[in-house]
Amino acid sequence: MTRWIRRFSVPQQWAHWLYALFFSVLAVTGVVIAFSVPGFAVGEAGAATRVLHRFAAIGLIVSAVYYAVFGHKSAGRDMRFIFTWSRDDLKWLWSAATRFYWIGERGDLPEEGRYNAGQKLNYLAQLVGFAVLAVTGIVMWLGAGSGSADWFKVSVILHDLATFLVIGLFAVHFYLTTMHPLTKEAITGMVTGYVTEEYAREHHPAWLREVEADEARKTA
Amino acid sequence: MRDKVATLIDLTKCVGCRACQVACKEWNGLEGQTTSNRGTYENPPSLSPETWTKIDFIESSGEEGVDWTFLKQQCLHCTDAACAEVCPTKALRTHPLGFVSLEEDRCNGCGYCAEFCPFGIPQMKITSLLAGTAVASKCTFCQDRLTSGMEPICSKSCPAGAISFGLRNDMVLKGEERVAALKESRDDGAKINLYGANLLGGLGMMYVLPDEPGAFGLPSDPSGSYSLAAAWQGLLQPLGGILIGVGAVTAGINWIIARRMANQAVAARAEAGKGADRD
Repeated sequence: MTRWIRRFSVPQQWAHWLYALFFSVLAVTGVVIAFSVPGFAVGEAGAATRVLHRFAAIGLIVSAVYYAVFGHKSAGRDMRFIFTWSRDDLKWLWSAATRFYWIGERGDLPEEGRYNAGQKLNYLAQLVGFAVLAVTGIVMWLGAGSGSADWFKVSVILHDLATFLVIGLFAVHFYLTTMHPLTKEAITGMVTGYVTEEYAREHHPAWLREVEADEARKTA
Repeated sequence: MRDKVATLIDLTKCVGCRACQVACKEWNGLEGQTTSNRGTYENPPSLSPETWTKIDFIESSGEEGVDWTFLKQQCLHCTDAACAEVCPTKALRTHPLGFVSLEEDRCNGCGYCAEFCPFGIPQMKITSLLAGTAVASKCTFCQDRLTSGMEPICSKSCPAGAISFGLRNDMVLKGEERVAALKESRDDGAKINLYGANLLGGLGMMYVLPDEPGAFGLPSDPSGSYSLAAAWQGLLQPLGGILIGVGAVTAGINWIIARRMANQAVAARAEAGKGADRD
């Protein structure tokens, strides 16, 4: 009988999927605006695209705030975790990128905690991208035609760069969690909130030991 | 390619009559604006979506009261135009005749042009702040007249002969000659200069300025904005595209290899389990 282990809290799941929804809308409408996709970028359709981009932006910010407020326990734990880095994390990144994700053998891969170093990096960079996009987006929204030209120029370019960053991160994240032959089981964790013991042992052994130690403490 | 044309605006000849301002409104079908008295003859106070050219009245105290110098403001039609560089819909483009054309129906209202223009020329008509809808507007060098072989309406309407129009090379020559002559004949001639002969790849509208550019609020080096725009559009965006391409190819190769390894591992397990008891 497979044992299932709680991996993500309910607010974390909600926040993740809301973020994913609004992120997708933003990415699609953003690409339409930036590359002026014919038929959707100017005139009434263009206006609709731009309104959609703005509403989705508000949605994205709200979903982040929702997580910070209603998921503050897991959000706080996340923050502590992703901002703590050790030499092992760097070793993990190198070893995973050059070995594990290709041939599936752990070799000298350091043991992963709740998140592996790649997930930490993704989380951190997505957070930075989110902050940059939110701030520059607001400058562009309210500053068009009236704001300080320097601020506006910097914002437009940073918005562009941050978009490359977050869409790139998203692509890697999507690939590894749904398509990669060795790690695609990860998606189950975010969909159901649970992962199998086998998956936890294989991909997050240090975390599994923590969970088991916690359970032992509780039952004792 | 046809030879470039240009307009030479001689501010030492401008009398501030604003015939060009009115003619521009009339030809381009721009609405009049209600303004209020601000204690100056200058009117309206600034360029707007309905005012594509306007005379600035720059006041200074002279021997007999107020002295005016005039600046005819409008798009300067850069060859290296930051606005056209950043325009995502190509509503703004540099025309081979030497001006920056504007097709309003292609504009998506992003406002990048207004912010990147080193002269602050494009004006956004904001139709909804919520939706971020707007339309850019600016002097088009009377693109309809020009492409039909006519001169722009401002030069046609100028009674003082301050606005000349012709082939760009001729206009540069004319401007240089005029500046040289004025330097000789006028006591205050030292500061007289030709503005725009070489700036930003050459401006389509140049000035004979009676004073330093700064006195008219014109930047002496307006190139920063274009460099920034070109670096963004010409360097960063292609670089991002290349990175995405490399990433996609890497992922594809990774998928093929990792799948093969995973299948081999499964096959090896099955092989090992064969003779043993099934569980």
